[in-house]
Amino acid sequence: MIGARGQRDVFGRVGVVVLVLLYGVPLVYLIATSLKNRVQIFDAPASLLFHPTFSSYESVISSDLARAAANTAIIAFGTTALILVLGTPAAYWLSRNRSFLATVAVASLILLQMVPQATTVIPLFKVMALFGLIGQLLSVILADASLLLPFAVILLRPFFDAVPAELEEAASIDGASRFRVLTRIALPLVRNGLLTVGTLVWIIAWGEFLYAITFLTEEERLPLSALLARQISQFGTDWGPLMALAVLIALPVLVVFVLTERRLREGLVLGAER
Amino acid sequence: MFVAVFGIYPLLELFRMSVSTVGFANILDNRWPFVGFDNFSTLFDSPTFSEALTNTLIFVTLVVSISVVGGMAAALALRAATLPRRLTLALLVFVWTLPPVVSGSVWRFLFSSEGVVNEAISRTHIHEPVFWLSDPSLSLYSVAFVNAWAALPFAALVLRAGLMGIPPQTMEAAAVDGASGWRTFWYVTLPQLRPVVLVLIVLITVYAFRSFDFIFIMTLGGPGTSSTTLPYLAYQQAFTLGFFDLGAAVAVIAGLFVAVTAAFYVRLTRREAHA
Repeated sequence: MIGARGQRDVFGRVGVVVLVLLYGVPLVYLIATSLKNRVQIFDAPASLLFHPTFSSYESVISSDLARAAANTAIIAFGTTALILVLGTPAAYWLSRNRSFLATVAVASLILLQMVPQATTVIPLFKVMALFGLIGQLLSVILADASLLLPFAVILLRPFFDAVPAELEEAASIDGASRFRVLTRIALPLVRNGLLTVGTLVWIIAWGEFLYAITFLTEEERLPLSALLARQISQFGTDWGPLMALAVLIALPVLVVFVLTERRLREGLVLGAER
Repeated sequence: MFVAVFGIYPLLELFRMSVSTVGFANILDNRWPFVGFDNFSTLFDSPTFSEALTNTLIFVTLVVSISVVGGMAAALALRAATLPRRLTLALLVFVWTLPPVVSGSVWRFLFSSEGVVNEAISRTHIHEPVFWLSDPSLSLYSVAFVNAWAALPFAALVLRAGLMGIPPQTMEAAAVDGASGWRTFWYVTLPQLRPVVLVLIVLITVYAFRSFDFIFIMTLGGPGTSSTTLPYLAYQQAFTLGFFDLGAAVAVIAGLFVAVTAAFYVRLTRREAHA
């Protein structure tokens, strides 16, 4: 039997080795290349025996980079906050309401969630221009939120489904308003759901670059991801600094990953089961 | 309200653009000259569009088959909860959380003409250097491979959860009956995973169809148009060339594809909910 316990599990062992190579080697080269100088990369790109140097990091780290990092943080946290504020009541309502309208709403959210980003960016450019938001970070936050809100609501709704309705009925009989029921009874119980959705949204918004390169016209407004995307797609040859920049973008994601790994895994599986 | 303003209204505008003449000059005007389906017939006459359509189908097929089959193999290999396997799974999930701009950049370096893969090839003298990204007959496949690589952890995770849900007795019974590993998988495991696999195929189809990031970072749709898919073509027409109308028309066609897949998905999940 495939993947069985015991000595005979050759398939499982080979599988582990293949997977570690396939997913570990690119990460190793990401870090190794960021620690080489230009000559080392040119002479032996595949070599892993070399004297590490921080010259690439020194050339990348600057006040411009700090500003880009601040832009990234504003976009990522702004999008996450906006999504949680808008998505939580929407998910709550869709969980408590089983009318025809709610069913249609859920179906259209699923549909919206699947629309390619490269197609929504075209009309969104017009909408942002109409509101005079082109060139401002807010345009990217709004666009990211519109991209991720359907996904967030669909993912959050089952968490509310798990909150017993009796609990809420008891509270409303005691005279609590709809708003108080949501904030005092339901929200604490769906804390895990909010954290999972918040983490996923944050990670995606942290790395998003398509809206950023399209809506942000000035260099100093660009987030890290857009900076890297532009440099690599247009000039991509100075690998050391490019890989150093990639490592710097990945580091905060690593921190979030370590803090939330378990929850993230459960959230992903849940998302597919919706 | 927010969904209406930033979700549905843009789609209506998109449709309106696709039947008008719109460029950078008049994008902000309220009235665009109406041209009916001219943009669509321009597209259908253009070799670039049909190439992008073919590319999209090849791309989606490759990404879906590699990541679902590979994800299944990974899920089976990582089923046991031993420490090395848990760590491997964690590695996969971490790679999945990496921004596409990061993993795309690494692969662009690995695949570049002076990069790691080519150095390994020339060191071992098995082949001439391969121009993974700059050879027009290869670039689409290279980007599809990287995209499948990026989607595989998700598939593995979902399938592994599905495997865990199968009662161990069924497989023990098959083993007692003398079924081989492959037969047990084919006749016992796979049928039980069917609903999970179907949903996964739909989700990854949509994911692959939407793909933009890796193409932008690794090849910019090129060389020429050799790795241009429909979403990339839509973006390029609108923002590189300034033809918002043609870009919108491509986007509408892409949207129709997604709508069909989405309808399929809703039916699948509905049927499961009733079952």
